[in-house]
Amino acid sequence: MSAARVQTPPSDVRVNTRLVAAHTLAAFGGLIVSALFGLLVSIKFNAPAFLSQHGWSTWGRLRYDHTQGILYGWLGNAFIAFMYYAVPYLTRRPITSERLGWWLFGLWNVAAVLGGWTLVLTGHSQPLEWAEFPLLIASCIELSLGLLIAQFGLPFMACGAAELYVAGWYLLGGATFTFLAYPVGNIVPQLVPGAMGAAFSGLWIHDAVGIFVTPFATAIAYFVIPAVTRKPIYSHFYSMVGFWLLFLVYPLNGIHHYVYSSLPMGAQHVSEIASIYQGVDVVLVVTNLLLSITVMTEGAALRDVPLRFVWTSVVLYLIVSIQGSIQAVMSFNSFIHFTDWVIAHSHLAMIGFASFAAMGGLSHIWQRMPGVRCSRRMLAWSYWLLVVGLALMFTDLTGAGLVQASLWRQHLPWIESVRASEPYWAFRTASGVVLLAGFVAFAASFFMGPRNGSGELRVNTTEATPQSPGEGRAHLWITTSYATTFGAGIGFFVISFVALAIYPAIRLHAQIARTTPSGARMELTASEKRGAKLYAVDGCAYCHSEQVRFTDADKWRFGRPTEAWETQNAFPQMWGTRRIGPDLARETGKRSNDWQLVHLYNPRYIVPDSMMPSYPWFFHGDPNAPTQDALDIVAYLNTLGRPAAQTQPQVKPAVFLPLALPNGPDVGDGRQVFLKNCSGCHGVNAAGQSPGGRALRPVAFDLAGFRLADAPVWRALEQGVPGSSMPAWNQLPSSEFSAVAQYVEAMGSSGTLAPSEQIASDAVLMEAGRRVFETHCVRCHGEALDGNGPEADRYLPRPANFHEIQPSYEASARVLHERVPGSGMPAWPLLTPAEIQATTFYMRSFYVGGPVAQQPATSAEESGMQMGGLK
Amino acid sequence: MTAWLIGAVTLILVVLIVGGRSSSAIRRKSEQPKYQFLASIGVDQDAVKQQQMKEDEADTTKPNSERKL
Repeated sequence: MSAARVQTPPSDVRVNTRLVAAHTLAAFGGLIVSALFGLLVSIKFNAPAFLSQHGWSTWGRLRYDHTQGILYGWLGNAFIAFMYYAVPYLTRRPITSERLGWWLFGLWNVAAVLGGWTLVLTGHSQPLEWAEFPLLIASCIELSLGLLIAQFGLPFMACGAAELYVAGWYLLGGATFTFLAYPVGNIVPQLVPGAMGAAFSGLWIHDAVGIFVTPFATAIAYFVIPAVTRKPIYSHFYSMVGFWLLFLVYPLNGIHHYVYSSLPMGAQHVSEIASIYQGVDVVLVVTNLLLSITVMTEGAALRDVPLRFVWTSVVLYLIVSIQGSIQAVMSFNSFIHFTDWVIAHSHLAMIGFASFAAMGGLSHIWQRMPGVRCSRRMLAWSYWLLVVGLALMFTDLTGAGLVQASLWRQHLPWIESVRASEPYWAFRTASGVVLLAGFVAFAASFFMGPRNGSGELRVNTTEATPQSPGEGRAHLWITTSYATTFGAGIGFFVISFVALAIYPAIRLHAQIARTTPSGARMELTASEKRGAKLYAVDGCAYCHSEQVRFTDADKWRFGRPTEAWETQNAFPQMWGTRRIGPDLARETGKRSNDWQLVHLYNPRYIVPDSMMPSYPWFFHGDPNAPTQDALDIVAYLNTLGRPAAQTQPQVKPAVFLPLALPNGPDVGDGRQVFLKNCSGCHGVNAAGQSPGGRALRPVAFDLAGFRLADAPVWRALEQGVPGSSMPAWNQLPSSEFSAVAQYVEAMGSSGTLAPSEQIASDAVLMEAGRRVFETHCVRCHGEALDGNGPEADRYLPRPANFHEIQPSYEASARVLHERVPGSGMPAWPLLTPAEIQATTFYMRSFYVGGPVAQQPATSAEESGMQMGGLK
Repeated sequence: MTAWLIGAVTLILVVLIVGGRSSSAIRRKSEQPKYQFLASIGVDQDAVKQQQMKEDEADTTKPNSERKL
């Protein structure tokens, strides 16, 4: 922009209505398709099996396309359409070139939006928030932003700084700063690993909203309000103060997405305070805008529907910004971060603020476009549908977020928060349908109703303002101060990267070199790297964070906080900003590979209430037939937290003390707990015959076929069963813990033999069983049948201790015939039915109901009994 | 670092605001773009000039503390 000399505007300046219309129609396409993506994503929360057979329709990929489509397909096109209309009026100059405009249109829509959607659906993306389109598309978008500046930069340059209306400043600033910020979030994190990359990524997460969306939306408000009211805004000077404050402070906000992380605390505090400061700017801007409507027109202008959209956008801008400032405060952030509260916030920003502004802008200019149809009635309908839909969604998700945050702090099992969220998610889908109806009505309003008159949109280029005393000095002061502040804006933009990304990266680099333990295995194998890529493209990081924060709740639930050195090889980092499933930063060694594979094939095989998508395309039709991709993903999962685990001292297993059960077990309550948490693997009837349970290795334990003492039940619930997929359930509330323990004990049945079925006397069975047992079983189960045979240590899970476990004859026969897949227990196909009965009889005789040292019943040999009739 | 950054932002804004209020000519000039914009979108020239003069008059007759510019 020329600061010293202002060129005289040409006398004939027209709006290029073809480019306005083209980008407007593309914006509708982006809006409807992106909203449909969002609706599918929302439906999958409650119906995870819906469209779950193919990779292209999995939750993560649709979610990527939803947010990127809203940002570029909808808002990007709407803002560009608005620029084609507004810039000639703001600068009194034409755009640079119509041909350039069509190149920009093609590059933006065909290459970036359509290309980006397609590549994401086919599994080519990057797990960076608001930057999910792959690098190739990121390059197209950056090039498009360059063309955008070339298209509109010249008219702005020809218009003097002191003459440019504030809406023009916002458009110019938005285009320029987005061009600068875009590579930082979309390209740099691919080159800078782990925590260092997270700092850059965090900046873009906020800059996408603060530097791209906010300036364009605010420009629309500053344009539409005076255009409708036909009155000047309240104060142009304070509107400029607000503009400068935005660009001085907003870039400093970004790290507030990663507070309580391993990023340097100084950077976190800068972002926290800058976020609060940002609220001051928004109050200033919104006050000026609302005064421009109410004071200048006494409120009567709200009958104009486009202005009503803009007014709503301005009010919601205030609300969402104040909310954002509060969320950035660390104490509050520790409570609500990762929950649906944040999703409510982002929808309020992107729909309530940005989309309402874009709709106000588009409908305003469409009412003035020559030769097009425009239905004010349909537009009014769309307004109310969108207001109602957004209010319902915001209220619902905010409530869901509070519930989730509360449950996470109560030390309940993670799945409880998923269960509690389900009604909220269902309601969210309903509100999404209302919103989609509003979007469709909005688009329809552009094709219905009476047709506007034909002609062209010409800009009045005559000077409106009279010269006044002191004009030259004032002009110089304003030009100088604006140019200086623009320079300061660029400076603060640079400072934001130095202070919040480059400086932390340097400190982190030194810290990582200092703190990386010598024995930590940091490098990933080729398989693990492939797994990381697959994990990324399917959006796993959007439900599972990979960072344990330095908060009490996180430390209690997930363990040691994630340190910077742990993710030093993660390109890009996958810290995540949302938790629908639990954090996976400490996943290594937590679960068996079989559990992971079955869970990946169909999570509901193991966790009945899970809403995680199934990934059947990673298998050959069966959880026990994984493709290499599935094995790679599991291999990657096993790396998460591995370096830290390798360098930690081994934790001595806790000594288990069986608790006294209260009298009168409430089996009914226990069954409810069992059905909610255990039936996925053990089956509804506890016989371990569910698809998930049979697919595990070792297969899920047949609780119904064995009588279990207190001790093994409580031990398994407290600590899990090493070597199996049975996790610890010590997060259950004590009442549920007791109830399910009692239920499992009550379900276990060892039965007895009917006298007619018993093939020999007790003594004979005893002796025969002993001989079989000593021949085949003692090496593992031990002579004392306590599971401590000489080879017992070779196996996990350890061989059964028959002091604590009493098999039924049926279950014993099944195990001896079929083995226990995935354990050290082989099949014994040559044993006869009589031998099996005798062996079972012998094993059963040792059961004492607890881990005690008492001897079992006197052996047959000692009692001198004969074997009569048995081999 | 936090204090320096926030302090620098505040200083720039204070200079901008104080400078912008320092004379009636600067105040008038800084408000001119909003009138020019109205003219560009086709609002009647006379009405625009009338509004500007009305606001200028109000500005010069008000004490400093009551001026919005």
